[in-house]
Amino acid sequence: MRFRITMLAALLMAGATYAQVPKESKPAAERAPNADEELALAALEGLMAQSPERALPIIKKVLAGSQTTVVKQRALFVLSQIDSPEAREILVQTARSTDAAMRGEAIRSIGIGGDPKTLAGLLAIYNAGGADVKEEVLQAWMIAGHKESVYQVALNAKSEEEATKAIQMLAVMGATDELRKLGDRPNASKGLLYAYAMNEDLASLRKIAEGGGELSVRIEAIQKIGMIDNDAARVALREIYSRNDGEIRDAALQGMLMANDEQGVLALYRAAKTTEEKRALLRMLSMMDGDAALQAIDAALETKSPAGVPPVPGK
Amino acid sequence: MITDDELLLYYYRDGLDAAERARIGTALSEQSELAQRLQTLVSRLDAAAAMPEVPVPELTQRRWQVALERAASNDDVASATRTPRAGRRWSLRWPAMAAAAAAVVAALILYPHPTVEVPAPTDTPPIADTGDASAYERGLKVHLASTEQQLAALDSATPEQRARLIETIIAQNRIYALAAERAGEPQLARVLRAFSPILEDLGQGRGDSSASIAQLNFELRVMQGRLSAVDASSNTHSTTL
Repeated sequence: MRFRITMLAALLMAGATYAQVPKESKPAAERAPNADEELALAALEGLMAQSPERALPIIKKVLAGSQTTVVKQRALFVLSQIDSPEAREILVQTARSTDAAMRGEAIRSIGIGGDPKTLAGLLAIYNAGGADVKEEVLQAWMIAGHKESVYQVALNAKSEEEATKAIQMLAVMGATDELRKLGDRPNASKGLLYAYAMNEDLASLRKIAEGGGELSVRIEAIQKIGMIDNDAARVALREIYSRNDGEIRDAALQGMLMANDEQGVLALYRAAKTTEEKRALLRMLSMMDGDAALQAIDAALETKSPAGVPPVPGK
Repeated sequence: MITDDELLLYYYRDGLDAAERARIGTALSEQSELAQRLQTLVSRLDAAAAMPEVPVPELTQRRWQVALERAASNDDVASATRTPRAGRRWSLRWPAMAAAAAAVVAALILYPHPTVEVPAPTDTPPIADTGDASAYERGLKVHLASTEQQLAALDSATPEQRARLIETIIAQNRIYALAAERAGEPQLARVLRAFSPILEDLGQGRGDSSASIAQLNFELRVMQGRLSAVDASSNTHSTTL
């Protein structure tokens, strides 16, 4: 055992000699490792079989030594697997580094480590950082499943763009409750509508669609219902169409087009009471290009419909 | 024709022999419709896995037990009468495998620590066992190893195959992250989730793909090493990472 750990340490410390490679066209963090780095990475993998007490001092030396960035980044990942305050402190320090590649990997590793206190500490880094850092911190919270922090960011966002990014992350995390809480606030963000659609949260979309909010937001909510691929969403769109008129009705039709609900549109076509409505629905069915469209076109041409579908010019 | 149940068994690395696995793996990389079906299946499982955990009614547990016993008994009868032909053996074993697969999915969805074995009726929910590796643990090890192999295949794949393969890896990864969370392995779940942004970059063609693949390979190997270390630890009671 002693021989093995000594060998691993020797391989990792050897970076001092071979790290003096010629300048490369790409930064180390953005390319595949070279042969020398592969050897160091194999040694890092070997550390996983060692106790944290044995592995931690070696990782510290690697991080402080002359290994390339790619080796040090992988060392941070190994560090994330060690459950110790010292390992976490190293990650926190590196997350505050000015070296973007190391900082990004440290932030990710904090997410992988999952320590609640360290994750909460990322908020300060988020607030102080630029767009890239903010993105990295959001991803770290996503990795850790730390919904509350992402929710707080969405809640306190200083711009629509910042709110949208946090909302998108909540959607990726399946944070339905947090998204609904955001929806209870006035002037729901359009990013939120997309998040509801991604999470197939029909109830929230319908609440906005049928609420008393801004018309453009309601229209978008209705259209987004079309992104939800289930029967309940298709039924909702048919109901919204039937109970409304004007732009709301058009939005429902667009949602049905998005959902490719040709049976729904065909049913509406058959139930339509005016020529104008039938024409609009027939046009929509033609765009869907399915069997239902053919049925409707056939019926419109074969019969003198009571609703009076106009003859197609040239036929 | 590959059934949904076979796809499910392929996902959970349970109940398929190497030849069957290879057949389905090849079909997945060649048939976009099949890959799409797999995606749909995964989406459904994701949605199901997102359901709140509820205690399994005793009646349901008994039904599982009976189904498994019946399946096992069918298997015994079949064993006594089967010919040595592989195809025949597969068809006779199928009811048992289907029942086992159903049990795995149900257990995965409803229990914090899924196992192939349906637990005997009990008043308290089962807790994570530390004995033999569960289907989830075995499946996870194979998932990590197979992801490494799939990543290796990316270089020689056509752009379409590559896109499909990455989508499949992402879907597999997501489901194993959910399973890890439910199995009381949040650390593993976090690592698996951490793969997602890198895989998505790969799928979108962002950054240097060889760097992303190298990073994933390293982390996959580290996790395999960690799982092996945990296994060794449980045998020798030594302290490992």
